[in-house]
Amino acid sequence: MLKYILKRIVYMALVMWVVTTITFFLLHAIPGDPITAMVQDLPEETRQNYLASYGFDKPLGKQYVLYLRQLIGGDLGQSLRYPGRKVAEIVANFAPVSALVGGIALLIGVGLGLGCGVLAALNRDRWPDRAVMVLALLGTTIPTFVIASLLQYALTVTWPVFPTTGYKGARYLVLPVACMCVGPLATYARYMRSSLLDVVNQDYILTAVAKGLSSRRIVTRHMLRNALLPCVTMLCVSVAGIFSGSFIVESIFALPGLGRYFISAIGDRDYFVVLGLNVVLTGIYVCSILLSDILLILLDPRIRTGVRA
Amino acid sequence: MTELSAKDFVIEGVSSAAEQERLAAKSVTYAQDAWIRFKRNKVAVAAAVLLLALALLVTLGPVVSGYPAVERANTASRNLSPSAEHWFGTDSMGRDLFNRVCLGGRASILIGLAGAGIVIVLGSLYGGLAALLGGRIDNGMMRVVDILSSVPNLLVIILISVVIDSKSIAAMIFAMTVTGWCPTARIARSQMLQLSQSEYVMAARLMDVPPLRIVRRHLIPNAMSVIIVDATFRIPGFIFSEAFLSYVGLGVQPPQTSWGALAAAAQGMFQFYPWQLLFPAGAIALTMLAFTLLGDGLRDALDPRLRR
Amino acid sequence: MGELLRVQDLRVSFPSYNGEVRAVRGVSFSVYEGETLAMVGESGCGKSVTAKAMLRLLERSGARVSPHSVVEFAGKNLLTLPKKELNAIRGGAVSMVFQDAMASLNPTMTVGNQLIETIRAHRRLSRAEAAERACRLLSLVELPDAPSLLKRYPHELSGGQRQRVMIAMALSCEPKLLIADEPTTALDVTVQAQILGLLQRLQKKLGMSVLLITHDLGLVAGVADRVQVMYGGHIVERGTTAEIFAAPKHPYTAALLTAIPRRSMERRGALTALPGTPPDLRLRLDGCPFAARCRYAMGVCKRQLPEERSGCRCWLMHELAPKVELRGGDADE
Repeated sequence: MLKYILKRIVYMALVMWVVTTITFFLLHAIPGDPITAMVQDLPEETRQNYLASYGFDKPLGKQYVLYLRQLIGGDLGQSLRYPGRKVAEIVANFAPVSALVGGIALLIGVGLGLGCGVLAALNRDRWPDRAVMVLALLGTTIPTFVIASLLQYALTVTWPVFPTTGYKGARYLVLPVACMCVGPLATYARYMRSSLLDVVNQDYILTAVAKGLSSRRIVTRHMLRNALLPCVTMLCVSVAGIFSGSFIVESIFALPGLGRYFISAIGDRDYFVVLGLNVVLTGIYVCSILLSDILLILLDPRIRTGVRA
Repeated sequence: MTELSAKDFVIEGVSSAAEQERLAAKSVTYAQDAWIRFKRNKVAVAAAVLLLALALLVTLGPVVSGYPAVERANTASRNLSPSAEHWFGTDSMGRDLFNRVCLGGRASILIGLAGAGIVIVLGSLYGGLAALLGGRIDNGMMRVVDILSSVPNLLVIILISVVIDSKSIAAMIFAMTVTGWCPTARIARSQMLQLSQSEYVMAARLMDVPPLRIVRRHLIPNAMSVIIVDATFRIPGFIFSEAFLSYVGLGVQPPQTSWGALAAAAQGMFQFYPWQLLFPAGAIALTMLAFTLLGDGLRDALDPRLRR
Repeated sequence: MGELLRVQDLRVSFPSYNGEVRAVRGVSFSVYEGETLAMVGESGCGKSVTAKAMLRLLERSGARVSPHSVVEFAGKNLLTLPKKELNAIRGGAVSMVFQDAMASLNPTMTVGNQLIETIRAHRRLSRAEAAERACRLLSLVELPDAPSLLKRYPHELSGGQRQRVMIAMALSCEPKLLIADEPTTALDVTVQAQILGLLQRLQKKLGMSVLLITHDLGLVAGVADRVQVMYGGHIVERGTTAEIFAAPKHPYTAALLTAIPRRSMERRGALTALPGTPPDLRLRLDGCPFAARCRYAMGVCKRQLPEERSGCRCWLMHELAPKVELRGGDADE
């Protein structure tokens, strides 16, 4: 099994390498040079100085090697817009807020979502099922910015219950968290429902009933345990998605999070930041996939045997 | 119970073929069965009707509204509420919002359809090829798919959009489809593999059915159903991606517009003129909803396991 | 032999989106202590549904059992028993073995745990005691190396081993009646013989009754004491194994017997097959369900369902019917 994990780690490293390479060459595919793209009217000498300091005047191959070395050394680059501000710093400063909002939203969303999914599946085609499905459908199809705008309008303007924007305390997080948990709630409700319905129709459930086991035992040990399996692996990917999914909500509620910074960097055409953050986010995503693979091995004996074989 | 007499007991033997058919379970073809099941799903049918209505609306809307397709800014009538003259009101430049939403709809729906279409074609070809060639080539091809899939989709789109920096619709579609074909390739390949190993294909081969006919009559129809369902679910994804890109400023640029662009423009003034956001956002939500419901209905109708 | 179980007028139907499927249309029979009763019929005749309905296993799938139906066991009607009492009987006094052991065992639980779970549901034993009992059960079904087998998962075993595990689970609480639903259909021929042999030995050893459900009449000969033949939701013939094989009274039984491939048929041409297909169970079918395919069908057969006379539900048994000589299992021409 250790061999399998090692193989996966190597594979993930490969993916990261591919991503960084693509990132790099995309950066240098921009017509002209990044400096001029950002700041149009620089005196020529200053421009050359900047180019030299960032190493843009060297041949592409060498730049690539330097870039890789730089990355491996842990340096993700620095902002062009705000020289001296390193990407790593940016991550350290802004990531915690995103993590907080996203993390709480995920916990609530997944918890409630799984519960609703179970409720729906066990009451198939009756009103709890239909209610959950409708809500889940709305949750997945109504764009986040609509929900966010609506909530903001309703609960900060019409009834000023919560503060509109900013981050000066826990109260400021209530609405953002509410917005962000809609997605996971809907997704996991649907997922759990379909997974549980699949399990309910399996032959081994019939066997369990024929063995005279109590309903409680059948539902918990046989149905839920097996239905939860595919959902758990999705969880890891959702965790990674905390950062990538928060863009809109952070912008609307003006939270100092990584997503909002990412968007403003795009708007600023601050290429290094965009690319550096991209590498970070991809790295998190890739790690989460690895984690979910490992989790799956630990939880599903069928895969465990396959891996050992 | 009626009285029985000797004539009731004359042996007649096996029933005629016609009579047997009457008694035997009626067989329904796959296509007929799928259509029956789809029709019974009222929600899916309603969704299909809704989509047709939407398509008609965005094509004919500007014609009906009485306002020119490309309006010039009219500062006199800025930010008006919905009324009889302006069904949805006007936007910040004084243009009729209903018009704008219809025009935007054309772009958004087109992008959704085009994106899904490209992704389906590319993905099916790639996946089908991998399944057909098999062995090492198949392995290698799927490794490429795995690697590309490991990169989070939204980030790729943003990245490419930033770098390409061309604001045309074609560029945006390119950005969205560059890794979007991967899940479809996986699905197509697994379907083809499953089907080529299925027993009825083996039986067809044993019966000397020419391979091309096997592909045409067995592989493609069955694989298509899964791919069609996948396509129907991808369309709302593309519409949403477009909306998101426009929101971030990378999407469709003026004078062209899309629902996402309209929503993004209206975001800042939401508290004062909420309908400017609500109408395009509502359109996005409605369209995504309809496609999702349609996809659900199609999937339930086409799933062979649910056949009676 | 005392009567262990009595089924009376069992009627089961399934609502489907294009009609109600009446799978079992009034089936009555008894199972006696210590005997093996075989229920034979082709796919779709209702034999599996009968077995599952007896233990109320179909409730989740929307099946409707007629309120007039009775399944009497130990003085109680299983169809109306409260859940708790029913659960005590299911897996306890009456247990069941299913066809596809791979699908019928929980893939995420070890074999040992699934056995222990059954044991502890019916007996008050500690985990250790239950584990020990599980070991003994595995040895009883002739599986070697029981202690290490307990830790295995179903997918790590062969088909034959899995089926033995299922049998062990069914035997864990000393059942009086074991219902085996096509226990060998999913297995290789050689393994089939082993499993059947095992069932026979176990039956003698434990003195239990076995209700064997199968579509293979050939299997039945060496194993069953009595045979019931089902067609179209009805029992069309019943009798001892000897009676059925030597002198079938129902044309369908006779046809089944001639359709069994035998060694002496090597030089013959095609295998005998029954013309036509089983009836659509959504239809009412006023007459005998087999009439359309029966070479002896008469006018009355197509209009009225025959009553059962001398263990055979056929109008040929009526005094007005012509006398026909049905070919039995030994007629080779």
